[in-house]
Amino acid sequence: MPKLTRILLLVAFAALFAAGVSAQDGGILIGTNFGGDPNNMNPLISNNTVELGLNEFLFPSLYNIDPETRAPMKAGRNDQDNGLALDWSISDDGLTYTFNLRDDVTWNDGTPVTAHDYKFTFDALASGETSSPRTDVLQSVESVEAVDDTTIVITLSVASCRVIEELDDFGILPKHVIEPAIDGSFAAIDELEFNKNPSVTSGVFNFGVLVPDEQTSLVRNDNHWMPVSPDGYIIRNVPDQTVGIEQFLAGEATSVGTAGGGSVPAARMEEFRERAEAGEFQIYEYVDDGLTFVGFNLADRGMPVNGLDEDGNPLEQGHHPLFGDVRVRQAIAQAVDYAQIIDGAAEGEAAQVSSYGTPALWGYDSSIEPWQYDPDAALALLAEAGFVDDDDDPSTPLLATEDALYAEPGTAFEFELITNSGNAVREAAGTVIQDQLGQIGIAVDFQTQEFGAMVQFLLGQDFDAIMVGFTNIDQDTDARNVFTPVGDVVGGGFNFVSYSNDRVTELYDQALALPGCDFAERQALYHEVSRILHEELPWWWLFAPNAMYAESNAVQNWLPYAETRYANMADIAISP
Amino acid sequence: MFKYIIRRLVQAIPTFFGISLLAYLLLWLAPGSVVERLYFAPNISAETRARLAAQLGINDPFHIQYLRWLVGDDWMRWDNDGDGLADQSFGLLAPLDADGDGVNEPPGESYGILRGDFGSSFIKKKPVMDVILANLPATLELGTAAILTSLAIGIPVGVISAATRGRAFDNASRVMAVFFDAVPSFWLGLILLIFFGRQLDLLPMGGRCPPTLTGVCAPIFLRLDYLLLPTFVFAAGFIALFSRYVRTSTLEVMHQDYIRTARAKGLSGRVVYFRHAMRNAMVPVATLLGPIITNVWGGATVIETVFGWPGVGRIAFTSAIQQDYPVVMGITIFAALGTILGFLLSDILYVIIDPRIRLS
Repeated sequence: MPKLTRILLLVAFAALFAAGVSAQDGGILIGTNFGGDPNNMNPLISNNTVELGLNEFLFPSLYNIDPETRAPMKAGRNDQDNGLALDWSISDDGLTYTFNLRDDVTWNDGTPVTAHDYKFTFDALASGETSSPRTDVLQSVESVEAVDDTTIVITLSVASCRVIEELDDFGILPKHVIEPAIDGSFAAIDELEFNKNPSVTSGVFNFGVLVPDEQTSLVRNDNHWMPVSPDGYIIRNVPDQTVGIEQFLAGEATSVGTAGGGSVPAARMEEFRERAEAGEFQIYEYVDDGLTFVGFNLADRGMPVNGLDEDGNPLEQGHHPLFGDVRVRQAIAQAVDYAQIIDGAAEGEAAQVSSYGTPALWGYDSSIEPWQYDPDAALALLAEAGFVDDDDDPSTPLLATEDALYAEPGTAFEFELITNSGNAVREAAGTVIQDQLGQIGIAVDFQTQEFGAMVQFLLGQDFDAIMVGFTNIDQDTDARNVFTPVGDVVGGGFNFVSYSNDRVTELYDQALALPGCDFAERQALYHEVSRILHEELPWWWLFAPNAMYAESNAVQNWLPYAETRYANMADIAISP
Repeated sequence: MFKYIIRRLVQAIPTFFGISLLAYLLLWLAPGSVVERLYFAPNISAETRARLAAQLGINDPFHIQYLRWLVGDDWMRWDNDGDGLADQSFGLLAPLDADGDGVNEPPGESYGILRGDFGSSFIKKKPVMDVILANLPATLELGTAAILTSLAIGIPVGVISAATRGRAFDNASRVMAVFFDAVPSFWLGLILLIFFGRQLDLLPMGGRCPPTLTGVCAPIFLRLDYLLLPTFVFAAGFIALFSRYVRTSTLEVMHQDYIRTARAKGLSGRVVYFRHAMRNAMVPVATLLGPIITNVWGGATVIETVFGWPGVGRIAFTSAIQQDYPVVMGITIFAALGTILGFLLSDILYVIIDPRIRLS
């Protein structure tokens, strides 16, 4: 912090600090938030990464997440995390989940956190009256009952191993505070002052104050069931990432980003590695759970049709003249030098991926070798698929012959590749792809569209190929919404490429309804899906970016994991 | 003058409607929606996104959305029996069961901007006026400081440049004006932040107040160091503008008879320039002041973003990106109001500065 500010702060605010904060033995964490304000702290409605990041320190959840495997984890007594479940059991038919909860967790007003709080929160969600985006869990849950203060029984309408993840998709609300405030109408939850200023919480911190577009603060919960070291956590709203990084380097912040996210940008990772090596600060690196890919439209773009009719029967969707043939997709996957894409678009700070997901996810099969650059193999496959260079001039597009599966003979191999404007990584990747495919006679009309326009093309299934990225992919890589006909809904579904493979659907179904939901068995089923998706390429798997946390040396006992910046917040101490 | 002001304000009414209609139409025509922006993820189903869109009313036809924003919807669909569901409506505008699920929709609750209800932010989930008013003090603080600074520097520089026409000061001020006018504010801001904040460790690296757990912001005189750089960057363009306009008008005034008379009376150059010439040379400044105040009123988007200054410009930018229509429309109306008042102020300042001008 600059000297002038420090002096002013000391003189003018000594009294205020003394009044507002208890003894500063643990110090204050200061993060830099590059996203919007946490406008809604209600865990049912929270949506942006900052909100979700802070929720973890304020509200209890059904169970803990193992920071190493990202899998559900049973809690222990006096565990500093807010997960309630000591253990759980699943009935033989997979329809009944019984959770045994801790009895030592309390709200900050001293009221115990019980199974009734969870039931109340679930009922609010199930009402459909709130603006929660998490209602999809309702597709498989029939009822939630609080048998007593520490036992929850959840009955499913269909067996679903995935439900275990969805049941923990929201933090738990304090029933004794919310219920009297909404007068029987769950819709009123959207308007509660509690959403802006959650006074009754249950984490290591209490909510402090939100100063719009400036900062949000959390202060130590002195009533927590275990001692909490930090005095508080301030999240500064810093819209410009460069400024945020300079604030960190100037000592005005203890971290780049916040608990909810915020990596050191790729362009500065090498510099940060060197400076961390020199002892200036601490860093932690991992592969992010975001994925950049190109989706190939496999169906006839001219007449987008849903994957299934109202009775669940498959509908004829036609074939894309180029991408309908898997050999063409495989050829494209071998026609590009991935190192050039990763260097050119992501400053070399990304990992090539081989299938759906990223190495950060347990359902992802890291043993599958990603597609490699082999232009000769690509040309051979294209020739086999009926696309040839008729004039020995690679600068002109290949032409379809009689052997092409879906393209009319004489059709030039050219297609539109769309991505959203303003994303420098994707724009650069698109340019590299355009250049490299051009070298083997594939003409790419690369276009950038405003995000909203791109989404309309994507959901309307009105594209040839589209480059997008998904972040925060679910740990459970059941992607039936993405790769089975159920999600192939024109205008809204995420199987926008119209992919269908009976074996993939079957594997997802098996993993979903596996008796006992054994983790390893489900992982094996997902790995088989990974191999099929790798071979069939409904999406062209590109890369997952590297991520880097940077933390001041003043932050002691720092224990970071992938996607978890502070695994032991209660133990952290910040030296002056 | 009073009649003139009233007439101008009455003339502003159709302008207001024109601006609001055009702005709303432009937003409506923009592809995508706030729901697709916020909830574009494979783990959120199309049904959930459709429900959220319906709750925000963004799927309604343009005329319904515009009317609701303008005059509210409490008269479109209302509840007589107090069961929380509408039982009467203007059928064409708002069917009782709009989504066809067999249950009547809740009654309309908004009053529209003509009745002082600017609606609620889709993102911040609070009334638009609260959103704007929360950030207005910061904008006014920065804007006022920038205008005062630019006047305090720009006018004397302009007068002195005129007095030293063709000499070193005049040339230096010209170079300064070109530089200040040409340099992008985001670049200048970043460079100054890094130099004074990190390299010299003299000034804070952005923000409006020191971060505290209580969120209490010190009075402005205790945090002038936070104001210094954004004020300078914001004022830089205005300084260039004022100094060049004042220089030109001062040179023009200096050839007037009354200046010759003042000189002939033996008054010193300083008195001639600053007492006699400057007042008349101020007329172009008054012309500029109106639009500049408008500029300040609407916030300084780029500068507020670079410096993390929590002003109206910041929310205008983020709301436009996030397609938070109610906030964008609120700020548009706010800026339109500022424009009308700013130009009116310019006209009034004309009269005060130059009594020969009469408003008609």
